[in-house]
Amino acid sequence: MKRFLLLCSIVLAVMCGGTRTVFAAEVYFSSPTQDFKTGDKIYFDISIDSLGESVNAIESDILFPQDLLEYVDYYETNSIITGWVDAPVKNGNSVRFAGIIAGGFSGLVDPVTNYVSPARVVRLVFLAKKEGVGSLSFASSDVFKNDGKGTALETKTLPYQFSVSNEGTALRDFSYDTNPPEPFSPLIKRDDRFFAGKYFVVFETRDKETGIAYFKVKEGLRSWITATSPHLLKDQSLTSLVRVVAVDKNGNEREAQISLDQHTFNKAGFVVFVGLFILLVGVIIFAYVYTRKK
Amino acid sequence: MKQFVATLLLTIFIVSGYPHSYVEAQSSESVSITAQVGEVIDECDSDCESGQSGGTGGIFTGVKFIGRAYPLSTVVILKDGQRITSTVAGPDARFEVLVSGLSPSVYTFSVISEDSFGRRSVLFTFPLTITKGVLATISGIFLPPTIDTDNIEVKKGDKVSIFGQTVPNSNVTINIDSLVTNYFQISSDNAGVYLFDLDTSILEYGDYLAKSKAAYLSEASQFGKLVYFKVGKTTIAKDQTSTAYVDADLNQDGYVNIVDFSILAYWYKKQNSPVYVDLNSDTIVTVVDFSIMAFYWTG
Repeated sequence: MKRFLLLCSIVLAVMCGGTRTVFAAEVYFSSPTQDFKTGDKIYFDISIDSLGESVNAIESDILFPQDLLEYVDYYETNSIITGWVDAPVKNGNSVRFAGIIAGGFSGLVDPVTNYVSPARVVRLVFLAKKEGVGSLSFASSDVFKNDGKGTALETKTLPYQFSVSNEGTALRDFSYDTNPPEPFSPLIKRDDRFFAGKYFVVFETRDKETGIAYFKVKEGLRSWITATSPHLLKDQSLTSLVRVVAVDKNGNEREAQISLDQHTFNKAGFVVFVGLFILLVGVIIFAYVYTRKK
Repeated sequence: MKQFVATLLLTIFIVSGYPHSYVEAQSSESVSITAQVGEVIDECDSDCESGQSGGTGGIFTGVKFIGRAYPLSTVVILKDGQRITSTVAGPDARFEVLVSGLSPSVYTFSVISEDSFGRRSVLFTFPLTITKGVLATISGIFLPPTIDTDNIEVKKGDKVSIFGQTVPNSNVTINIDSLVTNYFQISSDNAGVYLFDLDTSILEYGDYLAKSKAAYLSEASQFGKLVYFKVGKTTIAKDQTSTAYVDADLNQDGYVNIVDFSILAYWYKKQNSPVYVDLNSDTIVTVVDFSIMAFYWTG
């Protein structure tokens, strides 16, 4: 009986103490099935469970078997990420990404059930090339605390087994996306320490279904060009209308009008005012000299 | 006996570990999240303020935020880190904001405000799953008090004033942290302002961090921002008029937002990045710098 109580005490200590003192996050894979059909477009979700800790950034490097899978794309469907530092990109047999959650994340709440759950970081889409058994794994995964210091948490990861076969489960179409990206407001800014003090435009938005494919920018009569934020403006006089379009992975578009922030507007307005004033004074002097000569 | 111990262990496991309490991770101790489910309406009509349609009795998809900030302060709502709407709190610091026109998905909402003296609150964040035809209500939001001190260093034995703003006539708890933690209780006035003159003769020489929280009726906030002061040989006043920017505010416009994010992203992993973008001073911009920026995010 004494040994049993001692055992209970140890278990108690581990349960009460262990779960509280060791701050760790879990980053893991999931998918609707683990047996995919050959030739199908399939996906794996990468989710984060911060175990109650407030976290605000994640950086991961995923390894996949190139003989079985071909990387296609990433979708932002129900992603908790508010800004990609490094959007998912393939490099050989790995896919690397890094993103932030502005304000932090400690659990996703469903208002209907009040259940707190882990959240999806990203959905990685692959083509199931040929039959076989393989696994996805994390070459590295770092999760950072929302503490203002960028403290890395101890992060648990596990490999994910799957198979590809001709008899595998066919997935329902998951690339359905008819809605445009979320509304957004680009800003024109300048900073003495950046782009040599020249005006640039910043923009960011999310697409809640497949995700943002790219942005394009048009200044006045110039052509549309694909751009990333920040984008240095060609027209530094700010006289051209600047248009920014976010395009999602299904081609849906959201256009935004530039709103000059008040500070910039005041500065630009002041420059225009001074210019006009000098012009007016010049015209008056010219008219005066001209009439005197006559 | 074994069955009793096993039940006890299971109970302790559930209570202590998982599932996590949502409330404990938030900036208010009294927050609650509820949902109204009904017939879906795409557009709001004259009853938009309530989130319900007077005509059909249906509900449109959205989120309502109800809580307390600071008297007559502007309360801003962020969606996925970007400002989408704002309102002005009443003289009693109460506010209510409705966000509609959402498509079903996952969103990170945040609430932030500024007191009458320009001191900003912490960011109060809610990651939510939004379902079509569901109006979520987040009530009991209680932004922690703002806080500041009149001196950055105070001569031991002199007084240091710790002050800020919160809900009018609330009970404010000030916590002074060092090797020993001291708690002090005071009340805010009708304008929500609180002021506490701390006699530093009870403190040892050294560095201190002060923070405060407030309680009003059955509602309570958690502790807010930290403010630093030192107990030393001389008294050095803090310049209350100077504009102190946080390091993450790269363009020093008073906000940490997409502009700063874009500047930081430009320098990501580049060699010879300027010192002002290297927030953790390790000579290169990495995800750690972005994590620091995300903590100070204001939208």
